[in-house]
Amino acid sequence: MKMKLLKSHEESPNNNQHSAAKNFMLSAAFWLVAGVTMGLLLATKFIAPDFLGGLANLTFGRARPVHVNIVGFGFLSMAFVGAALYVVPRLTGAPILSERLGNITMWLWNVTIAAGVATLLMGYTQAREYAELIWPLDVALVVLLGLSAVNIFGSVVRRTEKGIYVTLWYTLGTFAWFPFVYVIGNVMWNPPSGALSGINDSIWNWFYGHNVLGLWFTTLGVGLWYYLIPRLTKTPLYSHLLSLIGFWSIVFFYTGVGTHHILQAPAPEWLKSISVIFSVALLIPVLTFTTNVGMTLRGNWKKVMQSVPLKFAVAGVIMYLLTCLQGPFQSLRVVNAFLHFGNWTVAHAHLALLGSFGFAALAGIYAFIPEITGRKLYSESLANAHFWLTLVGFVGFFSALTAAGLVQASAWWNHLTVPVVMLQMKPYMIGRALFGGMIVVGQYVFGYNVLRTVLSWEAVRVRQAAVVPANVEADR
Amino acid sequence: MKAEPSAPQSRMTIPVIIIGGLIVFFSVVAFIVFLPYLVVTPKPTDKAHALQGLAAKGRQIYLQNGCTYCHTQFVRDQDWAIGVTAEPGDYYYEEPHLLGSERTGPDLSYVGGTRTDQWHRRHLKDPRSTSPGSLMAPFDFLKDDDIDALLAYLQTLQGGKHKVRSVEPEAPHEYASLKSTYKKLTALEWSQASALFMRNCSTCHGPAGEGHGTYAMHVVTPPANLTTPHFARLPDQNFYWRISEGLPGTAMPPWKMTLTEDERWLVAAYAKTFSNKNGSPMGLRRGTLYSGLKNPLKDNREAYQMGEQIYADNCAACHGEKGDGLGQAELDVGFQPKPRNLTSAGLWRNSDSFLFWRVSEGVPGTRMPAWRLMLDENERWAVLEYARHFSGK
Repeated sequence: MKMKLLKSHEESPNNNQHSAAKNFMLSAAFWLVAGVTMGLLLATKFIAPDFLGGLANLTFGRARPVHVNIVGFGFLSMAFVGAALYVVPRLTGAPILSERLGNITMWLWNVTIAAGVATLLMGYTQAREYAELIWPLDVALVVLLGLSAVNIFGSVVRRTEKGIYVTLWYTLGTFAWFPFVYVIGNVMWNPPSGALSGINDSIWNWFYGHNVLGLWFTTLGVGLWYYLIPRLTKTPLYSHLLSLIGFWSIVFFYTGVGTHHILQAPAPEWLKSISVIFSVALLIPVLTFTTNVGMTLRGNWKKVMQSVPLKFAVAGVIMYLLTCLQGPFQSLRVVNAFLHFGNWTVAHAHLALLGSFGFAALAGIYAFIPEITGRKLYSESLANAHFWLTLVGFVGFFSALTAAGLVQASAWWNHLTVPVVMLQMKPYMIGRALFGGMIVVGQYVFGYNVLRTVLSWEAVRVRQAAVVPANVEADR
Repeated sequence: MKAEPSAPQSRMTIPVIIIGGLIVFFSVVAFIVFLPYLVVTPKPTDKAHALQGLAAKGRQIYLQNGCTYCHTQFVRDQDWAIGVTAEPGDYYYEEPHLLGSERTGPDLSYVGGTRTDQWHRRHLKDPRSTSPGSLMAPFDFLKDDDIDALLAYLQTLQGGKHKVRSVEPEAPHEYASLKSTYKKLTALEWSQASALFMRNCSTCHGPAGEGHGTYAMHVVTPPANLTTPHFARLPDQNFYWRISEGLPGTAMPPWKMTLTEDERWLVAAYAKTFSNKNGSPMGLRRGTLYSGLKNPLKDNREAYQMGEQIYADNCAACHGEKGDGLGQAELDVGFQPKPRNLTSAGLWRNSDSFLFWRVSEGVPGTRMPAWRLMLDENERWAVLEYARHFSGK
């Protein structure tokens, strides 16, 4: 199997080459640090509700959507868009349409998120979970999604590589459907409320809420894993048939699961049944993907332990598998009736967004920033410290919340009321904040490391591994 | 290394990915997003109400400060001690919806009316002063106007009416706004109503409405004793509501399935008479049906024999074979009040019409049923003719 070296623009990077991708990823790093800081503030308020309680802008109900929007639309989205802007040209053999356009998009994206943070802190919100941003910012985000799509499609249209690698399927598909998810889910034709009325609003809200995850983070994250893991292990992807099954089943099944968030609300029963069945059917894309990755990793585990980005990527895949085993389980009506409303779900949400896709995004940043800047990572050991702090912190954080969720659920199931059970939550909340603090420290270490890498004067050039995944080659 | 042209992934061209992806996406969206929008069109329920003025402003404050992240607003089947399970129509006016996804604090679907404004004000400003251990953020940064608005909103969260609740809940507005067509029953209506009651209700509530029907011993929740005074204070609509919809958690079924509207109003009017101190059946004493009657079978030997048989079959169980009020049923159960001792001479000094009325319509407050429903006129007169001999006359 021969490896093809992409010459031309790849081998002689000028200063501008991939700057949009780089800047997107650096912005993501910034928002990650900001997002986990907000998270720690929230965790603290669960122990000391009066902490910064007099500040209207930082009251829990305003800080929480800020945390969610920063990590979702700041950190994860910017990291994935940045990764796409870098990965797509490498798979097509043609640069993105315009670095300039990419950088403008990047700046506007940052401004939009900053405006989102400011407006939410001031109490301007549409108050629908994951869809809180006010209408002008919704419009801005859709435009920015469009601009990013134009940039990416520009590269695809001019491609010199004939084969279309699986990462491209996911990237192209995602940029085709996610703007629709966003517009429909945010009911953008109905400003300023950005909502329908009645029970339908909850159905649409959760269609959107789940598909920010399913048809945005998941499809971009899976695409990124499909690129990173074969490439970093220098092993061809195990099976294209599996990735084909995974791709189509993810589009079909993920689109229909939203209503499993409101299984005990008075939504139509047929819709709930569809959502449960589709949720369980999500095991198909998940198991095909993880099987595919797992088989690709055969014989490569030594490499995993030696490479920071690979470590993040593989840990992310493992947590993705765990999330997606939890998901169908939780969506079963009887399980859901038991677990709903409690901290179990909070743990699950963090497993998906931080454990799985957060790790995928971090893997991308660790893999691509040195390549783009041509500088070695400032410190491997800090990167390792980041990995272990985040992983251990997360496992503790997840366990504390899961335990809390089980205590809540079983107490409620036995007819104890919410205020009574709340009093039992303290030890778990302390555990969550402590382990959460570990995660936060880890991200600060990461931020410092990335900053030093980018600002480094030493500029030790790394040899560009300008290699497309072997399978792209095999496709031709 | 060339892939075979038939390799599955080689069919993934750009149009297949983008157009195919969008087709799959939109087909599912059509079913799970657009279709519900078209078919889920519930009518507003009693709990739904369009907010105006201060309460509407209060809802905005609720939104702006993210109350919905800790407080849900929907009651599930398994939720205990919160209220009635949420229905689609409850959210008719909600835009955006405030269902919520996490219960860090209690569900607020029915918080209205449970606490005073004063309590809420203290609770909002310093949650732990009223609720030790609460995790709620202090809202002392809200202006007093805003707190007032928030309170106005919170107090609407119970169905729109803001009244102190009585032991007996108010009828929902679909029923509360109805008016009974029966104020005072005429003799004819009375006979229809009591027939309905005997046929449908007496097995649980007892012929006299005291809740000692024959099924009463089997059902887990005792049937209502309709003679207790608080029933007298309930408006007719409450009777009609309970009769129509049944009472969840008891054996009381929704009679709207089997009785017509008119029949339910009749039964409602009749059921209300049990708690009437003046005993509305008395209205019948002067009624046309039973006044001035004479026993047409007086001293009729055949009638006496027929009456003997009827008595043995229907009356002896309580009144006893010798008419002494010591029937086997009475001895087994111990009725309160005791069945009448038919040997007392005083009883037979009543007019024929009074005795016939008692036998025909039963005696409120006792187990004496309305025999009109089981015996024809002749048979009732015959049994009276027979029973008269217990007095020794």
